[in-house]
Amino acid sequence: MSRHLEIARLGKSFATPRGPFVAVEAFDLTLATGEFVALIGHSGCGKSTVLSMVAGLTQPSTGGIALAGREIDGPGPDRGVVFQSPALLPWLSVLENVLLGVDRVFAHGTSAERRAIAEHHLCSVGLGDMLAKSPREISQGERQRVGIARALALAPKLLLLDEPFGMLDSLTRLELQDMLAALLARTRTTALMVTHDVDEALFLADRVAMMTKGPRARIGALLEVRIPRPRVREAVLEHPDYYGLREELISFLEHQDASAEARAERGLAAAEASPLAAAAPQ
Amino acid sequence: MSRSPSGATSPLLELRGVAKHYGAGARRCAVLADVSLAVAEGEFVAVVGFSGTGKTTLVSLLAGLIAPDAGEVLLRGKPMRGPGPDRGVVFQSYALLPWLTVLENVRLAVDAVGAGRHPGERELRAREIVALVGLSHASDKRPRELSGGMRQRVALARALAQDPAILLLDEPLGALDALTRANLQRELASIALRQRKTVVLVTNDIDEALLLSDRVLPLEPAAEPGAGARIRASFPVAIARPRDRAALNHDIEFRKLRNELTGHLIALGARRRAQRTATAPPLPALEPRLRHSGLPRVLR
Repeated sequence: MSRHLEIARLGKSFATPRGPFVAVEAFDLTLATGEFVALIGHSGCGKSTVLSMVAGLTQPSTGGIALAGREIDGPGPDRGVVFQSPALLPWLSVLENVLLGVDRVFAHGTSAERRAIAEHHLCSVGLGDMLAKSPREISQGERQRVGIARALALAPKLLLLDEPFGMLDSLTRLELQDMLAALLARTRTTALMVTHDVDEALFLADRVAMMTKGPRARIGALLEVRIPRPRVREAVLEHPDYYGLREELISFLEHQDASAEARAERGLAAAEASPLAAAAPQ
Repeated sequence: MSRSPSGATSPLLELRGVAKHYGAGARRCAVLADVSLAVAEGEFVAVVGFSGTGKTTLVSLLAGLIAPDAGEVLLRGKPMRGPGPDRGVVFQSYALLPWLTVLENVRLAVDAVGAGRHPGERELRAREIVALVGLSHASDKRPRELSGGMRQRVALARALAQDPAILLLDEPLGALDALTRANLQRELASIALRQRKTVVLVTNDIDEALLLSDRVLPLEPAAEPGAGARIRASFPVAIARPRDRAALNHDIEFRKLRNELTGHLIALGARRRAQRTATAPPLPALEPRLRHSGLPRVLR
């Protein structure tokens, strides 16, 4: 197994007036090239903190992260990030929003080539006929399609997805999951996705990493999803393992809930900051 | 325990070949085309559809807030003439009066239908309904002091306060987080069961539809742009009540239905998007050139 992304002994603590708050501790995870791993856990457990360190938007307090053999020490275009809200620039067209990054990363190409790259990815997310539209004129689901095209257009070594479909209604969410699965199957992009949707994790991921509830969050268990690819929704839902895996994830989350409540009674659970949201370029 | 619709000959609420469009001339846009739907007394029907396919138009027609261009809207077999207190409507936006307390918001609805009754009796009735949705502890709070879930409970209480025979729910839980949503779904199921209401729930959540309804009707988006949505298929939900979310995960019938319905809706969505796929230009053979981004140091 090639180690494409290696996260080793990763930890993050934040300074608070009452001493350091350890959000994440001893977090280990390795992704093979082309692998899709979903990171699942309750809101506030530190999932986004991990993702933001992999994105290079926050510095780890301990441990380290290497992508394709190089240590990550800041943000870079080799990692595409898709947030819950795509934060498109409203005064630019759909095409121009994608070109913004393409123009920098492919500055050595011709402008026709750069346009072809942007158009290619917008077509592959189903927006080929909306290039000239303004973000205001399209639906929320379509905006998130632009966000995904924008990330993939830079041919990243790693795609980071932070609850990318969290704001969408459940049917639109299904549509975008199907689209993302098909896209990644074609581009073979390695991806790490944060989600709290159990069905979403099972449909998209090769492995699901279940995070314990913070503080000192780490991976509590890893679940392998041995459902063959390419995955078609009906076949996935009818796979004999599906509801068993679903049950396992749900009961893990429920168990975390119960143990966190017990911890809260002991006065240990503190409010957690989401550094990713604060550091995200708007 | 399964609630079976009463054997009445004519449905309580019915749409017959209903069509509705907005705009005129070049801007004319058909929303619904030829929608037929019959809801029996005591039945819980869920209409599931993509956003922007006319779900709210459907609810407004059933509420009598708008009239169809073609076809008929029938209430107890007679043409519907506008809105009435026999139909309580809950929309996704709560539309509470911000200067009134929870109790006063509900009291308003009680007063509207029970004008003849003694004021003390009406006050009692309003308190009863507030308790029913689990808000007694917050009855003196104003809407801005409440969470989204609590506001949605007030909106539901206000609809129930009219004691309507029919509840029309337009994505009432759409704006809520998963946990609050699950709690309110449980509440809604128990209220519908205890009070034997006839309910039409419009939602985009397949699990919500299967958890609550006797029958799920997918609202099919038009195959070609500009044409209206239709209702054709119907999925009866023959799962005993009360239904428990965790237990459903093991229920063979639930899984089968969930898979069927998901597949059906995905196919409808795919058909809609297939209309407008432009051909992608080939990707030029260019490797990305990585320089460290010029983001300010402060973000690192």
